[in-house]
Amino acid sequence: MRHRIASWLSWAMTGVILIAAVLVALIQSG
Amino acid sequence: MQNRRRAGVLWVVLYLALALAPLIFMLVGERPTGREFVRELSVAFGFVGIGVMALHFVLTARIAAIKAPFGSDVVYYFHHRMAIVTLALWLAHPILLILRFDWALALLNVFQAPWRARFGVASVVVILVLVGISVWREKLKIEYVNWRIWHGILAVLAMAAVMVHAYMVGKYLGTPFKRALWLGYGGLCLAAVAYLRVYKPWQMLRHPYRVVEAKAERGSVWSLVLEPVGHHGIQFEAGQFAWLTARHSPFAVQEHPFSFASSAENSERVSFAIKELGDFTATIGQLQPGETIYIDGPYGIFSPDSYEDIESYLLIAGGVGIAPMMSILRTMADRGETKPVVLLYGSRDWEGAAYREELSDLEKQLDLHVVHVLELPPEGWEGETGFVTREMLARYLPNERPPRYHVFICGPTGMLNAVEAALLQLEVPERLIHAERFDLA
Repeated sequence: MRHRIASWLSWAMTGVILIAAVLVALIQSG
Repeated sequence: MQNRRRAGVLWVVLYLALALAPLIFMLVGERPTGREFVRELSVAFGFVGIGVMALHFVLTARIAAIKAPFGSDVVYYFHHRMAIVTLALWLAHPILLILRFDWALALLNVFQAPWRARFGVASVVVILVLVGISVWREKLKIEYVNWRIWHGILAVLAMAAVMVHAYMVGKYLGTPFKRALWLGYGGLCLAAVAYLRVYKPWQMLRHPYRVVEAKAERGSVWSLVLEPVGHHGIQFEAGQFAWLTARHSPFAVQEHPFSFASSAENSERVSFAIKELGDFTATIGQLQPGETIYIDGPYGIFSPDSYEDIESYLLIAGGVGIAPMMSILRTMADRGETKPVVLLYGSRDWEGAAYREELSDLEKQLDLHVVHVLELPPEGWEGETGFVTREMLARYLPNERPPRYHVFICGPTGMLNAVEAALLQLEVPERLIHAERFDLA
């Protein structure tokens, strides 16, 4: 169960990271 | 509890900020323009991958303030999950370039490629090996201690190589300010390594312990009793654990995590319950009185002291998972606590139930009911048998609405998962269930 917290956190972090990377690439590539 | 939650949110926000900060390099100051999306995405994955990698060093540096809101098991599990994410980001960077641009494939030829590309390739190879030996350590039959040493070395090598790679490519690191910030990430890793491998061992060296005795208990368990030498010992909470180093310098990375088994009320004589399982634990019985031991701890939030609203306890132990429970019960006895406790204690057989005589004595001192659950019961046994099941839990869970008890579980991973699932099925609120896992590696 506590693993679920860690699992949820890692999915959330991964999602934010991917979205941020795509956004930055979109902005930068104009 | 409120403070812990607030600290947890703060660490999550800080983690995200530091992980994403390298992306700022791509948006501000001097930078290349007019490049296509795939190339920029590849660079973004690379940069954010380095940010996440740097944070692994901080996550695993045993910084008590970071672990306090979550618990060590959550931090390590998060580290495992994010390691796979890091690897995926590091792989995505070259793969995107190779798929989109013909020239990129030539950069993999380490004999002809420029140095910046060689460092990039080296970093990816090293992180592949690093994750590979970690995921398949047992299959590859790598000893725990050797794995830890190589894990550390490969992590530093991968980070160093990727930092040099990004620095030499330099497309987004053109200004002194950006370069300084970049070096800051390297500094963060170095600081974390120095804290864990220099500062902490130095502290341990200054606060040694000596073996009082290594006493054989039932079930191939050893009680390792220690006393501090030249200092006042360690303040810990019942249920916490520490890393022990025996027969080596604390600088030698030869440490193993064990739960305290002694009362938290006695910091001048601490004990650990250690089962003979692997390489190191099999030699505990050979430790002689007077030998020096080093302790790094305490760690963990598997402790009744971490929760203020406990009215009664259900403790569930499997095998050597009894260690933190002994600490909890011995502490309660020393404090003269009167809260009701039920201990479900799973053992293979009656002869292998470690501390069963002491538990019987504790039943007389505390409002404690010990329920032995035997896998292989002796003839004529009238108690519980088999494994801890949902039906068994239902028999011993206090019938209170709302529940005012807390459940503490410690034992093998399979048992933990099964018991946790059963408790949820019985509608025990998640916040009242606390589990201690041994698989921190």
